[in-house]
Amino acid sequence: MFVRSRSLRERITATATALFAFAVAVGAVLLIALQKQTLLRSSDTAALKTAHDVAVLVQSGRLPTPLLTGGGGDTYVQVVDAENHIESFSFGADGAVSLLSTTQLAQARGGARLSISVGRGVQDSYRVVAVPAGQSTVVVASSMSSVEQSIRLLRTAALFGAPFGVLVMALVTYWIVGQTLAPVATLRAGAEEITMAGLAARRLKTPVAHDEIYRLAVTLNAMLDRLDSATSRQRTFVGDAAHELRSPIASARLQLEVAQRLGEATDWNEVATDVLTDIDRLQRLVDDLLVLARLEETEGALGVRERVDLAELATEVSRTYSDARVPLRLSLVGDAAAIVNGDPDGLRRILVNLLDNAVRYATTEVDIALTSTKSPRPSIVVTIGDDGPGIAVAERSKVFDRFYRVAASRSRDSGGTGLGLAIVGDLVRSHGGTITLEDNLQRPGQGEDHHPGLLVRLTFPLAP
Amino acid sequence: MRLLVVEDEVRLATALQRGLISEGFAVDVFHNGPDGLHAAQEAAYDLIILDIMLPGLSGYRITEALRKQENWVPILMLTAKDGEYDEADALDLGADDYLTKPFSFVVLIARVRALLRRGATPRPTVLRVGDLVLDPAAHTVERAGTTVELTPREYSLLEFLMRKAGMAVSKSDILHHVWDAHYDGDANVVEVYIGYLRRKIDQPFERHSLQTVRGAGYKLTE
Repeated sequence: MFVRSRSLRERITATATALFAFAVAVGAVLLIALQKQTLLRSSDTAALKTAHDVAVLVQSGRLPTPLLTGGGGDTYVQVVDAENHIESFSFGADGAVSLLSTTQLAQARGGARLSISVGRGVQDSYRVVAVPAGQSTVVVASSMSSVEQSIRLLRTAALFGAPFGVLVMALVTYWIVGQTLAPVATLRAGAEEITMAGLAARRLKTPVAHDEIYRLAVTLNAMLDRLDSATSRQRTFVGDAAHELRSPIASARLQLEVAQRLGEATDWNEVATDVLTDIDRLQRLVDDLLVLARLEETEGALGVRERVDLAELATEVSRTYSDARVPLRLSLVGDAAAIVNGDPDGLRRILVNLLDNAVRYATTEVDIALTSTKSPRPSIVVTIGDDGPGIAVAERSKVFDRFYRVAASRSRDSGGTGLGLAIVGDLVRSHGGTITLEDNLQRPGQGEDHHPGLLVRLTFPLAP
Repeated sequence: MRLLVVEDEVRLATALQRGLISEGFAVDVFHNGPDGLHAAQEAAYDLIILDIMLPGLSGYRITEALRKQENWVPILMLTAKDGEYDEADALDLGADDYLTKPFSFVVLIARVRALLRRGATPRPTVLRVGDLVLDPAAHTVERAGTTVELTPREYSLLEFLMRKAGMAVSKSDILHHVWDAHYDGDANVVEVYIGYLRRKIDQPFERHSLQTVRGAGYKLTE
C-alpha cells in the first residue's frame, strides 16, 4: 500500500535504485574476494619459487647462514631438519624456534599452504609454504600485511564509492523518469484546466514528439470533441425546449391576467378558447418531448416488435382524415403483403406526423401510396405527396433537427411543435427504414412560382 | 402614448394589446420582423415592445437598425429564451429593458411606465467624438479606424470625458468619477493621466482634442 500511494516516478526510481544497489553490493563482495585470491596466489607462487631455490641449495650442500634470500623484510626462510630444528635461516628470521609446529610442518610438507600468526609485539599474519629438501624442509613465510592492506583499501573504496554511485544512479534515474513523464504531467495539467474552464474553452496540448503520449492526447482530444458537440447539442435542445414550453405558458398567463383586469369587459368564452389553444399546444409539446425522451432512453431499440400490416394501418389512419382541410387519397399498389416487424404505435405516429404536415401545407390534395418492391431487398415503400410549397433542397436535411422550422413557416401558429419530423426520423431509423424528401413531380405546386410539392418516401424492410 | 408591439404569438400579442389599451395606451401590433421595423421607422412611437425570435427579422436586428438610424425610442425586449448572454446582447445592442416570458402583466406595465418616464433621449451604445469611437460593450477605443490600446484607468477617464464632450470638466470632478471616493492621493494624478491619454489619442494622430481650460479643467472636443 505504501508503495502504491507513491508517484510512478518515485516507484520507478526506488525499484531501479534498489536493484542497482544490490548489484553493486554483490559485485563489490565478489571483486574483493577475487582480488584477495589473486594476491594470495601470486604471493604463494613467489614463496614457492624461493623455497625451491633454497631447496636446490640445501640439496647441493651449499647452504649459507644466514640465507641470502628473502627481500624487503616481509619474506622469511627457515630450513629445518626432520626434528623441526633450525638448520639455517634467512636474515631477520627466527634462528632458534621453528615457525611451524611439528604437525604444521608435516601438513606443509604435504603441500598445504598455512596461514599463521606470529606475535612478537605486533601481531602479524604470515602465509607459509614448505618444500621438502631431502630430510630437511625449506619453510618460506611471507607477510600478509601488503595483501591485507590492499584488500582493506579496496574495501574502503567500495564502502564509500558504492553508496555514492548508488546515489548518483538514483538521481539520474529520477531525472530521466521525470523527463519521460513530463508530457504526462502536461496532459494532466491540461485536463485539469479543461475541468475548470469547461469543454468548449480548450483542448489538450499535444506533445511535439509523435510518441505514445502524442497518440493518447490526440485520442483524448477526439473524445473531448465528441463530448463537447454532444453537450452543446443537448444545451441547444434544452434551450429550445424551454423556449417552446414558455411561449404557450406566457400566452395563456397574459390572456388570463388581462382578462381578469378587464373584468366586466371580458368575453370569457373567447378567453377560454384561446387559452385552451395554448394548453393544447403545450400538451402536444409535452407529448412529443416525452416520445423523444423515450426514444433516446432506448437508444433507438424498439420496446415492442410485432408483425404489423402497414396497408391495414394506413387505411385505418387515412380514415381519421376524412374531414381534414384537404382530401386524402390512399392507393395500395399490388396485392403483396405489407407486413413489417415493428412497434404499431411508433408506425402509426410516423404516418400521423407526416400526414398532419402534408394536410397542413397541401393546397388541394394529399396522396398516400403503398408499393412493395423486391430489390435491393424485399421492402415496402410508402410515399406521401402533397401539392404545397415544398421544401428547398438546402433545408431538407435540417428539417429532421429538433425545433427546426422552415423559415417561411416560422410562426408557431401553424400548429406544429417543431418536433414532429425529428420524431419521425428517430422512429424510422429504429425500424430499420429510410426516409427521403423529394420534389413531388406528379403534382406541380399551386403557388406563384409553381414549385413542386413535397414527396416523402419511406422504405421499411418487409418482415420475413 | 402610442406603443408598438412586435410579437409573432398572435394570442399573446392580442392579449397584450387589449391589456395595454385598457391602461390607456394606443397600441399597434405586428407579427413579423420586417413589418415591425417598417412601422417603427415610419411612425413616431413612444415605446416598442419587441420579441426577439421573430419571423423574417429578429428583435436584435430591429434594435440595431433603429439605433443606427439614431432612433432613440425606448425598447423593451421580450423573449422566452433564458440565456444570460441573450439578455446581455439585447441590452448591449441598444434595448432599454428585458423581460423573460412568462412575465406578469403588472410588472410589464410598471416597466413600460418607467421607460416612458425616461423618454427618448439619445442613449448611444457607442460613444463618438469626431473620429474617436469608444464602444463600452466591446471595451474598445478607435481613433480614425485605428485601435488604441488603453489601460483600464485611461479607458474610464476617456469614457468620462467623452460623455461630457465639449464641456469643461474640473479636476475634482474627474477625480470623483474616475477614481473612487477613497482615493486620497495627489490630485495631480489627473494631470498625469491626461498626459498619458494625449500621448495615445492625440499625439500619434496629430490632434489636439484633449484641451486644458485654464482655471476650469479639461475639455474633449472634436
